[in-house]
Amino acid sequence: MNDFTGVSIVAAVEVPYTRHAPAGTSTAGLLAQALKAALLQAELSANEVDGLGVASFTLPPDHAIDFAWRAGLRVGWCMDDCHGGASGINLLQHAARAIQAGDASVIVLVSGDHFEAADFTSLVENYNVTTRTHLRPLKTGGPNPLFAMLTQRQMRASQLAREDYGALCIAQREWASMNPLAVYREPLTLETYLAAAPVAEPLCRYDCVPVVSGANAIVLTSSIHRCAERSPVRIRALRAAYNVDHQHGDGLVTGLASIRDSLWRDANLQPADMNLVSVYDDYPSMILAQLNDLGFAGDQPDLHALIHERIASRRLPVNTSGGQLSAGQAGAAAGMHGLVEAITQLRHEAGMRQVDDARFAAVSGYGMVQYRYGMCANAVVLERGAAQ
Amino acid sequence: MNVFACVACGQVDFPRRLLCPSCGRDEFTEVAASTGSVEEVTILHHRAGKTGGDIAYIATVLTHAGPRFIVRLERLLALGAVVSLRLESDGAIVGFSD
Repeated sequence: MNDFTGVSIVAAVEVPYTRHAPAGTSTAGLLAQALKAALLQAELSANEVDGLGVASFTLPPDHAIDFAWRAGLRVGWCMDDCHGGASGINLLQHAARAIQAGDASVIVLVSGDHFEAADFTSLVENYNVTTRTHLRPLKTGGPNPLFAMLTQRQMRASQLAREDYGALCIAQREWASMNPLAVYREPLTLETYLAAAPVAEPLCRYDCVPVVSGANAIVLTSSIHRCAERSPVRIRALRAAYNVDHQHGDGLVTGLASIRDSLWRDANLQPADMNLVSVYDDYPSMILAQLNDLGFAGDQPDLHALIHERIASRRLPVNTSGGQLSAGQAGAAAGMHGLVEAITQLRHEAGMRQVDDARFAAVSGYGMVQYRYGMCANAVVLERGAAQ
Repeated sequence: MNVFACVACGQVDFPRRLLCPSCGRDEFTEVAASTGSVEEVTILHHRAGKTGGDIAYIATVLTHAGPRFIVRLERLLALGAVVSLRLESDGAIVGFSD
């Protein structure tokens, strides 16, 4: 069964991201704010929720069930997700199937993190056993050096220069200037980008996501629920591919390449039908890799043309919130950020950055860095549903 | 430095797996991987949680045994440079060229 009939997404929210959260901020508190805002948007009461999914790096020692108790929820479906940048779509996949199967009828998915400086350092140094054993001793300070080298490989393979990655960052910053929730909204020039302090060459600070505290949430219901009457968003297709190459490749091709054909076949749509795209932008090189794998660069990919003729020109609206590169990376919420933006666009609630007549959106997730690059990739095609 | 070869199918991997990703068996033999060539190197200027600090040279090295290592170079080397590899007591793999 590869269709998602009978499932509607009825709310998508973001708790404002902050670079320096006020004293007293906690991960559980941010998740609770997201839950509350999502229920408000969907016009639901907490008593109607019977399913909960949670993605967070810093919620432990609590888990989803602890959060459910603290938030006063009684649920019959409860799930922890630990897939980082792929967590939003992974949760969506499982939640949609739970609704189709009748295990739950109203599911809230929340994701978010609050980081103190020490929390973030601990996370990146102990991300998994491989990182702790083989990368932490190198004092890499997280995955920046790995994606610096991946970017070098992409620059060689596709004849790209720093100016091309700068154009991606500038394009997203222009979208961010119209998103009041983005932490960085001031214009970014190519001169500023090129002059920025290097992090891990060729990456500069604008190629690396700003760490923030924040949370996101979405709500799914059965399509016959009253909440699905107003402004539902439907799932046309969803596919995931994890560990497709077991880290034997170069990281320039993600698992999305292996699911591209089935994704578009399931959706009965093509990349050209999409009004906007959200791709996981932990680094600019991964924006290009995912768009290419999904088919947005065509059968004979020209990434230079994709950047300058389609993304910078906004003929293809990509990461219209500003993406993580401008809006910030709130830990596991990053895996839901693009999903929330796409749903907001399809609900025609994106304000100044609204894409005209948005009907279809593609969203991809990527992440969980193992030894050299991410293990996980997934994608969903969404459609604005008809109000009843 | 060693990498790990599946006894059943010969698949060579690093880091060591629980089961072979090629055939699913769980017996491995250690294979020496003491040299390799530099495929990429990045000059690392800034690390999470640190202000300032020393520059480091982090590289991808294709070992002659097959798998790739992420290593710290003792000094900046050109792509293609052949390096010897050693394992430090803290687990760091270091690449060096005499």
